[in-house]
Parts: sequence; structure tokens; C-alpha cells
Amino acid sequence: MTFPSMTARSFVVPRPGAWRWFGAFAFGFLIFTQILAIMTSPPDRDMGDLQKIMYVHVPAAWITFLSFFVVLLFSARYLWKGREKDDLLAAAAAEVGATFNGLALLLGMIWGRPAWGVWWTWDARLTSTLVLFLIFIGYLALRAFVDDAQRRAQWSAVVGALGAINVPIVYMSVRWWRTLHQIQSNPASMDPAYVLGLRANAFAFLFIMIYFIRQRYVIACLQRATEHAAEAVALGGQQA
Amino acid sequence: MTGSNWMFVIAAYSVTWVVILGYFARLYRGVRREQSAYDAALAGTVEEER
Repeated sequence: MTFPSMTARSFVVPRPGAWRWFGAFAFGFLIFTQILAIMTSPPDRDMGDLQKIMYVHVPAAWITFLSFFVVLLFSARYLWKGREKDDLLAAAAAEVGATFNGLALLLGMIWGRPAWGVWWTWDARLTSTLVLFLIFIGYLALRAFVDDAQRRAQWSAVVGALGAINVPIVYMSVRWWRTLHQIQSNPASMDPAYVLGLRANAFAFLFIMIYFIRQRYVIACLQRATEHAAEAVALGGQQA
Repeated sequence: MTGSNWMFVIAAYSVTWVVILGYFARLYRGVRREQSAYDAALAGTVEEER
């Protein structure tokens, strides 16, 4: 397989402030949906008010899976077409996914302490989620330590695609193994009183994810464009 | 389960906002830093052309 030269820039640097209003909307919507969920949902029969942690924990986990699916999609497309833009999008989604993955783990610990009596247990769901998190920390470390842009893109595309394959394992872990963690929550399997809050917060997290990936992509484009400009200077002042 | 559970609920929402706002701040600073670096690199390219 051949890849196009990394010295010729093949992407347009997006305008950093262009999505400012979308970002403001996403944050405003998240505040609104959190207030809505907390104010309208009754205490759960078994867990009482602890149930309200679901509105942040479950969307954080869903967004983690979705972000890593984006990594898989663009990593596979990079390996197929060799377009630098796909590599940068995959890297942006990986960092955002790792952030939400870390958040989901932290929120699970906060929920687990009063519900199970422990902050952490080596349960299949928790352990597989931690493994997923470590894979993508490894992915980000790989990108930070490889200087050659083409090699960095190829290696991280392979690691990103392989890492994302772990997502179905994490998702199904509660059914495949005996776990302390409950089976997957979704609007079809819960009391209708909680459905609106969960759906609304899932969309709010989705908007935040889209905004974060876009901004992280802008940073990645600027970094690569700067490298291209430096290479152009080194090659004798060609236009970057 | 009692009202003391609110402590955990408040902790969960606080952690959520610390992570989200922290990452937002990181992105905001990153965009500004990389935009400056890019502008400087472009200026270098133009200087070289002259």
C-alpha cells in the first residue's frame, strides 16, 4: 500500500472560532438537561437519589463508545485511502474518547462506593473499560513519541482500529461474564420516568463530543500545517 | 439508601463539570497556541520567499 507524501498538505485548516455558537449551545443544553433530569426524576425504589448519577455516567460511557467508533471509522479510512485528514480526525476523536472514558470510570467509582460498598472491583465491565482506557492512553502516547508524520499516522491507525475492537467486548461484558455491574441501561429497559432525562443528557453529551472533536481537529490541523510550513521553508520557501 | 447519597450525586456532577470544563480550557489554550505558531511559521515562509 502506498501513501501520499506527507510534505504536501492535503487538508484545509478550519477556522478556529467558526463553531463558537455551537459550543455555547452544547454547554447551555447540557446545563438545561442536567437541571431537567435532576428536577423531574423521582428517587429510585432501591437506589434513591443515587440514580441521578445515571444521567452523567451512562451518557459518558455511550459517548466513549461513539468516539472510539469514530476512531475506527477514520483509522480504517486512513489505511484505505491514506488521507492525512482522516488521521487527524481519528486522533482528535481518540483524545476526546479517552477523556470521556476516564470520566465514565470516575463516575462509576463514585456510584460504586455507596451502591456496592467499594470504589473499585476487578469486575469484567470495570476491568474491560479500564483496558479500553489504557489502550487509548497508549494510542496518544504513541502519537506523542513518533516524530515521523507518516509512520505516526500508519501506526496509530492500526492501534486505533485494534483498540476500537475492544468496544463490543466492553459493551457485552455484562452479559458474557458474571458481573457486579448491572446489564446495559437503555430507554427500553427502564422506568419511563427516567427516559426523558437520560435521552436529553445523551444528546447533550453528544453535542459536547462533536464540539470537542471539532476543536481538537482544528488544533491537529494547525499543528500539521505548521510542520508543513516549516518543511516548506526547509525546502526553499515553497508555499505551505 | 439515605439523603447522604446526595454527597455522591454532588461529587459525580462536580467531577463531570471539572473534566468537561478542564478539557474545554485545554482545547481553548491549544487553539490559541497553535494558531500563533502557525501564523509565525507562515510569516517565516513569506520571509523566506522574499
